[in-house]
Amino acid sequence: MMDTVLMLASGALLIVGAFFYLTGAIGLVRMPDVFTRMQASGISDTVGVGFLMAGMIVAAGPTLIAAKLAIILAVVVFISPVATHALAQAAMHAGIEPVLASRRVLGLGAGLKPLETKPANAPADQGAKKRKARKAAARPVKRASKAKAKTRAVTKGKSS
Amino acid sequence: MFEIATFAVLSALALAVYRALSGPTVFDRVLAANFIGTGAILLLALVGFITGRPEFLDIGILYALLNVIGTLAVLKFWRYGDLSHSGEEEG
Repeated sequence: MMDTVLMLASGALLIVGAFFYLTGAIGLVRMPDVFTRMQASGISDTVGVGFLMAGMIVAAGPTLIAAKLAIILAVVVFISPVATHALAQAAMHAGIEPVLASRRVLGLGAGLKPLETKPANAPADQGAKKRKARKAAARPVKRASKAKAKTRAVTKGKSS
Repeated sequence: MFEIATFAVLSALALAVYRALSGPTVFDRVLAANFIGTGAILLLALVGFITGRPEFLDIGILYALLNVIGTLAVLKFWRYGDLSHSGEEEG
């Protein structure tokens, strides 16, 4: 009786986890830019992994296997946000602008401030170009383009 | 149930491989690599359950620890072009 209940619970948790994991993977393919893809993969790394591991822990019962699964779950849950944060920081640092639906930007210290209103699918994004140019003028080394970063990497590798 | 979950994880990994191959920026590829690392851990655990060999979980723990170090190493290399950079000058 108890066994059946546990197996059913574990099966349900596994199915739910598999669904969320697959959802995150589909988002990884279909989302428009790298930041939204990070958000989609966050679904998999938290809810998907959490439910799958919970299902396996229920199936394993109170054994060493469950403890190891809990260790893996803890490692993934603690480390996945760190990796995502580093990835987002690196992408912002490399000059990748998030694709925005409305014309809003994150002002420094000012929170969300609305810019001039434009249709969402305006052909040329003049505001972003201006912002990029301003940032490039302010920090010429950091705002190097991707090609420049590549050459920088190559020259650095050669010199050291 | 384990078979269904394994199939879902395998499908997710196929989608992530597509993103890793066709990602327009290097960050998409790093994200997909991170995703594939997590998927490999899950796959190891699930296959361990299916075949009745829980020793796979130890390998899974190892993969979980290697995954984050690999991701951070690639990101640091891409940002500074050098893994021994202290990272403090540019903040």
